[in-house]
Amino acid sequence: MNFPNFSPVGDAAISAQFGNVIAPEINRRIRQVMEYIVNQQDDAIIELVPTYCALLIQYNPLVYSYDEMCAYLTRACENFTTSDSSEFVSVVHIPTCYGGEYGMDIEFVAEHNHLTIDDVVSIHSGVDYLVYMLGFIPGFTYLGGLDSRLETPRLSTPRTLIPAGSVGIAGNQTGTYPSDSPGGWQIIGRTPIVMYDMNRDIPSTVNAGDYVRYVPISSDEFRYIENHRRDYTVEVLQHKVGDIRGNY
Amino acid sequence: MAIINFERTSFHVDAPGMFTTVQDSGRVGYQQFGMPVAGPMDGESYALGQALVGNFEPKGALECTVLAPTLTLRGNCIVAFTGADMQPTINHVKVPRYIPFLCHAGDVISGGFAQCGMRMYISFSGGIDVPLVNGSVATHTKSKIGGFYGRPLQVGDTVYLHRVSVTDVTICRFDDTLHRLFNVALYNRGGRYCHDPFRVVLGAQSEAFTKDGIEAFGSGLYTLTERCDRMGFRLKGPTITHKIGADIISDGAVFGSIQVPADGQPIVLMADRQTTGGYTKIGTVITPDLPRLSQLPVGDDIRFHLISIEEGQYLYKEYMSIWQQRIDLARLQHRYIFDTDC
Repeated sequence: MNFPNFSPVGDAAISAQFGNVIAPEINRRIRQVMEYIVNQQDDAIIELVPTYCALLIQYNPLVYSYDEMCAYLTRACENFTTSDSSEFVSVVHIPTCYGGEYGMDIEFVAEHNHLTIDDVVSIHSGVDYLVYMLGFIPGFTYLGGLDSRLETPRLSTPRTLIPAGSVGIAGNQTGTYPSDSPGGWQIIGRTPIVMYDMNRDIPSTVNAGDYVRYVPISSDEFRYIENHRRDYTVEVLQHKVGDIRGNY
Repeated sequence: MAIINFERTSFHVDAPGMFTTVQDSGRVGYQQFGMPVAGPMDGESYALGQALVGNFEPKGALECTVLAPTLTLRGNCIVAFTGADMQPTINHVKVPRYIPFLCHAGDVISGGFAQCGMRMYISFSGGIDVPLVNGSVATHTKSKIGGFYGRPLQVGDTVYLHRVSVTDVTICRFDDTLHRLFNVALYNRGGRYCHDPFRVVLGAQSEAFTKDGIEAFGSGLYTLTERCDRMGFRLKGPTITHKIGADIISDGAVFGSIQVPADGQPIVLMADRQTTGGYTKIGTVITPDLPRLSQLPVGDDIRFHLISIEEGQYLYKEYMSIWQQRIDLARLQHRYIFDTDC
């Protein structure tokens, strides 16, 4: 695999771009570089933000110049290991009500891809999605593995309010809004469960490295779970990587 | 001369102002979990306020937007006003900004509409005592996290301050002009020099824009629309055209990143920005220019000026040296008024 491309993000941050596709091995490489940097315990490294294909590093420009950061990161990229495939992973079941008032853009997604609404639901819920990263807002999961038949561009002007639990599609990405938020994704459904709770030890229901399985529910089930949210236990199953549904 | 025992002080919110939130230097280190940084829009004014009231660690202060709140103190504390000129008052007497005041139980802190700038900081000795969330008390209202119940202050709120460890404060004889180290005219947030071009370092995604698009961005006049808040400033001006599309695979963003959605109108990401975003980012406003940008009102026009990363980092170092001089001056100002050992 090639070395990343470096570019400045203002005067106090640098981006290392590892590729331009969403792929588990690229993401794994980013995690490795990140781990290396964290282990250096360097006070001049202020914050690391890993994403699908890039690692953003905020640093102190009084300590490192941009060129010095490029050299620093080049060193960090010099030791990678290859991936181990026979491990167990967590598959988190997210009950989701598709379409209607909960998924106002499902018709657009269907029309855009020449599908029926039922097709959209069965394709979207028929795959297990790898959680590549959390970002955008606390607990927002960026998932990989969306079937290409569902790819739909973002809204050209983002909405100012998307309700918590909304499940959306943007380009070849899909994910769930953990809280009310502005956003530009095409909304196809909504889950009634709490995706992010600041008072829990692990606030996010789904974490990086987990897989997400959307389980279709009716609007009656949605309201039932919504009303019994506190008692609802999220179903998490352990599967072998080989048994994960989708193209991995 | 020992004057005052700083007991646990609180203040009552008589009027909340337009949008008043608790902020400290922000939630650093948690963006990888999607946790936004928040913190002050004008980090420099905030930091000067902390130095003026004698807080050596950054503590919770109030960021007031457009209109100052009215607060009644229950207990004693040192208060300082920095940032936008909201004509602050103590017991209805107009007081200067950038100077610390010893206030007593029953004193009323207030002010009016901002005459210059958008955001004023009210700092308190000890700082505002609200629960830490991931190491910070900064309010992120969009996700209802941090600060005072994750929201702006409301009428009737009672907000507590930390007890201050220094119990003896000696006040030197105060002569208004002799003891004022800051030339407040130079700190007119939103004033003249605040409209100088905002310097931008282009990022890798500038490749996604046409030559004309980048030229339009670098030379055009952009107006702050009414959709400007702590999360981002949406600007309106010459369209920045993309070569193919505005969508990217989501990646990280910083305070000052300028994202351009498909409509070609730039959005400068500010203190409450999301940690990552999926629109192309043409570049990033450099750190030294962010405080003055945060003080500009809706309707103002700005320009951008493209610079190299080397120039950007040179300006960063120059700015941090000025920043440190100002902080030192603020600490000196604190000692001028309160002859403490700290």
